[in-house]
Amino acid sequence: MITNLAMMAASAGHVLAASGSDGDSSNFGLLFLASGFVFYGLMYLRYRNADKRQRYESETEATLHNMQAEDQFVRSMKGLSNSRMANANNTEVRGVRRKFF
Amino acid sequence: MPQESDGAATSDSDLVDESNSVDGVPTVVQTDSGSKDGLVKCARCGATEIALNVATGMLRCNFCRFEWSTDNALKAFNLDGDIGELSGLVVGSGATEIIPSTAEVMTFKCSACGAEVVIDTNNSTQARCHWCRNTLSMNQQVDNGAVPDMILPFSLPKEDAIARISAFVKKRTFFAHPKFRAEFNPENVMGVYLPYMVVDVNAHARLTGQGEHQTRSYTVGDDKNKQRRYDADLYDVAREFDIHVNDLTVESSSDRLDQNTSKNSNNIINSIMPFDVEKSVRYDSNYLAGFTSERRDSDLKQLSPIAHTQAEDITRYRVNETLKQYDRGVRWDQQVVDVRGERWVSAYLPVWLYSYQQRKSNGGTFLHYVAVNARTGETMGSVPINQRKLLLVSAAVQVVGTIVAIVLTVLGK
Repeated sequence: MITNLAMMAASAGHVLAASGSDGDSSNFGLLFLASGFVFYGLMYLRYRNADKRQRYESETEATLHNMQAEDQFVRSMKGLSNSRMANANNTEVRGVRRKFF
Repeated sequence: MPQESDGAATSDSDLVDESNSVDGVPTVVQTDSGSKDGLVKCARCGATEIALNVATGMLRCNFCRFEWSTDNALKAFNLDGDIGELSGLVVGSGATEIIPSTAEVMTFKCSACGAEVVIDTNNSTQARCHWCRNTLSMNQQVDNGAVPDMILPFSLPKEDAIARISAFVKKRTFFAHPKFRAEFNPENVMGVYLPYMVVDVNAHARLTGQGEHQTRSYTVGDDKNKQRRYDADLYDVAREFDIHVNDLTVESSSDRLDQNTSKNSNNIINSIMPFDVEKSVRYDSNYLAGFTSERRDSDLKQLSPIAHTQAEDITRYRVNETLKQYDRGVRWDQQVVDVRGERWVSAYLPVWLYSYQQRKSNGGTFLHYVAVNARTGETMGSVPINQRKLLLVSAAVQVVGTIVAIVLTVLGK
């Protein structure tokens, strides 16, 4: 339970920090509104390190061979509101053993 | 290298899409040939008082100081061959299926005095004869997972581990639980050999999906409602390649595989990986003298899905090197990773482990670890928190933050 709260608080801090970095002063104020929760989350993780795990996806030695690449242009899209592609999963990690609850 | 085939564990490949290559009978590489149980004597003086000299990484006779080491395991058993040549399932004889009926407590006859000596394989593969004080070792593999294919000796001295654990905890004392601060004694650190499986994978992968490349970023709306917008090009993306994964390391103790951080701190031990497993040597129980060990209790049946999913993650991560133009990301719609060959070797890997059992106010307990990788020195830990103190300080930070937020909002208008 406490782990979940800490993770939520820490991630809230990241979200607010990200929105604040766009230069919007009202969002910058919001960052301070969550400061107690963010502080709790960051301290909890610093002491308990519940978020830590081996980064096996990057730390394990692996080599690619015989690469064949295909890239076909489909279309151009204008006026997208999201800075990231919807449902992008190329950085997804599914085999992590660590769970928070 | 003697090889034989038997009916040991086959791999379950359900987590790797359309994997079809590891069915059938595995090739078993015998890794305990020439090993013997009982008295293992110093070649120079015949004493059985043998232990690891951490400073040199070699076995040392405690009577005559003669030092030697066993061979590099991967080279000795040709377990480091070209991964691209791997086909089907290859397992070390120490990684084969555990037979549940196999005894965990083994009885040996001391060949020096004839007494019967018991070894509890859950914690060690050595015991001292209570009559003649000789040390008896168990080096031959039995089907209970106690004797692995290879062992990576400790190379970080205990003093170093104590210093690293002290420094780690010292940086986390302000919010540490007062009882923990009072009872913390890093001298109690234990050297433990933990069981792992080291896996090589030869796979062919085909990933198809779509990727987006940002072509423009701009702001729309008036001063009161500014919004960021993006233009992007959409591409159909496909990548087909072979991937060789080397020394993927997976915990092979069911206790250590459970990494639910609300119940235990096993994630701490996981986070100090990786180890330089390529330097592992042939198993000899004398490496365990002065240390404890945990017995492997998980088979390929349980571990294959984990290793395959992690190999898939590694595949996705590595292929990102070829996707740099897709700065908005790639959505893979189909991921086919066909495992053509894999090699499983069981290993004991060295960890300095400081543990602290916290008794909670609700009567429950929580076991905190501070762990040091006894090869690389990487240190990670879990320190019990004084919740009341942390909540009070967090509340104070919240009050100050709220005041600052109000001031900023007022000034911003």
